[in-house]
Amino acid sequence: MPNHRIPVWPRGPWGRPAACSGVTIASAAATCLTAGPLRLIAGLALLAALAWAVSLLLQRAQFDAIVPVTGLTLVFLVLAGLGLATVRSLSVVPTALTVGASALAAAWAAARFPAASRPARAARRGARGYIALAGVLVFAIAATLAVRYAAESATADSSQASSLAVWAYPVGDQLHVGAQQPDGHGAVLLRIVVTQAGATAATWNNILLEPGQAWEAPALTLTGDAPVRVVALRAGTVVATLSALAGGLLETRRAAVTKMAVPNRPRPANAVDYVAKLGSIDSTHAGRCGLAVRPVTAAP
Amino acid sequence: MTVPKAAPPAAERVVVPAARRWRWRRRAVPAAGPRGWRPGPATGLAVGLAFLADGAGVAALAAADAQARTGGSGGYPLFWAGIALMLLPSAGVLLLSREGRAARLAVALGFGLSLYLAKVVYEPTAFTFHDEFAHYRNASNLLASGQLFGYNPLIRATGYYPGLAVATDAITRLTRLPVYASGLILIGCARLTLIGSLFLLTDEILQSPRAAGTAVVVYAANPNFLYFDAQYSYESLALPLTVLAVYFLARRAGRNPGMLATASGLATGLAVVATHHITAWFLAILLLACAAAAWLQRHPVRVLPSWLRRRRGTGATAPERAPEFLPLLPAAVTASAALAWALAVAPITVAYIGPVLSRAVQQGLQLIISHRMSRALFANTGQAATAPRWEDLAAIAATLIILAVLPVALVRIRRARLPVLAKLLAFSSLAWVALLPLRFTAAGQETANRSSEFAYLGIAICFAFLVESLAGSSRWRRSLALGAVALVFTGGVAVSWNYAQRLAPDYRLVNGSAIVTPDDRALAQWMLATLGPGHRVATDAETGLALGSLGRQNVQTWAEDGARVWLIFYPPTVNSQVTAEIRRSRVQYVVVQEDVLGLPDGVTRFDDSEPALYDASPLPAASLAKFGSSPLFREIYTVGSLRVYQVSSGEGP
Repeated sequence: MPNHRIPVWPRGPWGRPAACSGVTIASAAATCLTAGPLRLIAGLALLAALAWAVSLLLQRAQFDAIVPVTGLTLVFLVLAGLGLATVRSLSVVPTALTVGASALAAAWAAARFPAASRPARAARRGARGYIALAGVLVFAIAATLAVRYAAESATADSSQASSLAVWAYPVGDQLHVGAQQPDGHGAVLLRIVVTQAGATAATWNNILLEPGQAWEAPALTLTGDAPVRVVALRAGTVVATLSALAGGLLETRRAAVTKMAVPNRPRPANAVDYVAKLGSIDSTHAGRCGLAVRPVTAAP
Repeated sequence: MTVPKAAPPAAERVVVPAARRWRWRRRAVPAAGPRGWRPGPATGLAVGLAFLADGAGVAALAAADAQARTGGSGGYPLFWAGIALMLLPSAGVLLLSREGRAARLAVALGFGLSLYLAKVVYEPTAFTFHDEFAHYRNASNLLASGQLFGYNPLIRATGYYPGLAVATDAITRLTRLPVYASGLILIGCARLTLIGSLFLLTDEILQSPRAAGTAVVVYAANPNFLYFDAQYSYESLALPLTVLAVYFLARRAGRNPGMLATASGLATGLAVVATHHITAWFLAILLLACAAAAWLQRHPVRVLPSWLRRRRGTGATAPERAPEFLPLLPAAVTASAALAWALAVAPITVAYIGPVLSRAVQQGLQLIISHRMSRALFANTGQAATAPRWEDLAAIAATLIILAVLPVALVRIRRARLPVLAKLLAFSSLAWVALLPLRFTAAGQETANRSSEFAYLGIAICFAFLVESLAGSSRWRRSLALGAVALVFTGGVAVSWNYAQRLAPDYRLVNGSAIVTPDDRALAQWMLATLGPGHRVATDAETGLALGSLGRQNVQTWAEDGARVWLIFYPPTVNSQVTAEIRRSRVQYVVVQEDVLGLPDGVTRFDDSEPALYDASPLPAASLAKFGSSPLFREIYTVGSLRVYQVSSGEGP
């Protein structure tokens, strides 16, 4: 029934370009000005408007137009992204403006240069066509539910396989101690003890970590070369330990040169250079020499 | 870009001497009239049921993966049930039914999309395959700096092909979606483009929607379709665009694609050049060959010798035939752009691909000369589970079917009046045959496997042509063809992915050095948030994936940095070798994954390039414990089996 066409709003040669332009302008403005879920919808609408404009330009109203329209939209994203990156303008506003301007240009180019013989639009869908559409709808629902179910399954497995994390890293002269309980586990009550040369330097009791919650202690200042050990206990059982034989890391940052052993040798640029010059060295020897010199990384 | 769907031009139809050559003619698939959705007998029901089965298949695969995550044993039957649900109804509609063109295209798209969702439900929350981590790094580099060609320690060459990253960047910036979600949308659209373009391309050159549907199902049988080309990777985007570019330029003889289609093909080719190296070269070679063949067809007297002219039916006595479209401009632009990009922008590509190809050639020659095989087919390479025997048999049967179909199809295609592009694509399937022996070599296996996604374009054309020509008018022949195609598809899925890794991993059971675990991700995020990006890290390969991508750290490897990290990890004490390598590679952090101790002998532990003498024997526990007893290292983080040591005196990069 080729003469039966689905009435498409808006009609007329300028109707669809105008509608496409309206969607483009509104979504581009919303993309630049909003945040949150509205931003997500606006961004997706802008991309859809671009695809719509491409479909207008291609002058193909058939179902198979979905293929070149999708492909050309991807091509546009690649080429436009390369262009924006080349002029170092990869940010939200230039990207939205580029996509929007291109969509407007494509839509109005399609209106300005219509095809000599516009192909017929899709024929009327009879009852059987709607059965097919129902199948597509069921597919979409089933796929969405399947992905959602898989996501929940993966998240549960991932959470159960995660472990308690404990850290103690130096920043300048201070030691930052913290812990994090992953999602999927119950709340945990921790006790964290920091010792230096066998003596307790700090203790934090009754640290309650809910699932997914992190805890960080106030920065701890340590002095001296003695080894530092951080122990996390849960109901008296050690669940994590961190140890550093070179407890003088923090202190030696202030006086790296004076801490160096073997003064008769020229001072190397760093301790690893120094170790390399010493040749083979085991950890005991290194410890006696006091080779730990300075922490190299500071937290931002 | 209107493509009138008419019968082949009269000049083409009248000149074929039926006695001598097989003549291609359009089969009795009912014309769709208007190229939209024309309901025929039970049209909607068949299409609806195919989509319904696709949805059920995706649900079955999700259930199979969930079973695998909980350690259940019913995962594999569910997996194959899901695959069967996707394949059989869709293939039935595409091969057996008398549906219209649009209905077949819709079913083909649903089939391709459901197979893509098989990868999505495998791990719907995060990237999980090796290459995905590398490309995540490219995208995050671009999002963070806004500059192209950022450093990528995982696969450095990928940073010089930023097409995927810039497209992801655009979606991410416009929608504020995370990179993972943007990547899913992007690759999902690419999958639709691939399936749809292949359908439309085959329909255009063979003039048969049924043949187009057959080509789609056969192409989906390529071993890399299910998972590898569904991952977030540059090839997953470039390959669909390549097929799209070919579709834009492919026309039956006597018709030109038009200016808009040519411009679209040109733009698509340029996008491919900026996205993936081998795909761009494939497209450039294909277009150049097509242009050369079309040019030869237009200038037969001056170029071809007389015997060839007579044989080819050209020359003064040959019947007139409408000249082929000469894609000179797209071929020249794509080829020169690909060459210029490889030379000026990404010269690293040669160093990246060259060793792989040279090793493949070397072992291939050894195989030919000395008949020495360095790899056994279907060998268990250390994974926990082995594939059932029937899967191996299906893979062998699929190979034999393809080997049986190709000669027959190619002989017929050579004689048929098909566009040059169709013939070139069909004969490119011989590359698959030529590379088949490389599967008996350890180094060549990857080359043979990675060529599948290209060679199967030709194989799909051959199958489509043969099925349509031999089985088009006979229902039982079409049913036989459906059986053969289903077997080829089953064989392709059977060899698609390591059997033990075909279903989602149970993170609680697997070795942490074999996959990226949640603890790896937690560590990577902690390092990025606390220590900042760009630190030089020595660790094992899998932990390095998480740190190099999610953590944006500069993980040291032999392939990318020349770092010999195995010299840091294997010695049982912190000796001069360890410190020298730390100094040479300027390592700042050493990350120890204690699960490495559980890896079997013969499997690389810290770097894919580590010498075999290191991994030939068990790794002593002291090799990993030494960092905790040395004052050169400060332990700063622990989670699960991971421990992070700060090198007390390393140098910054």
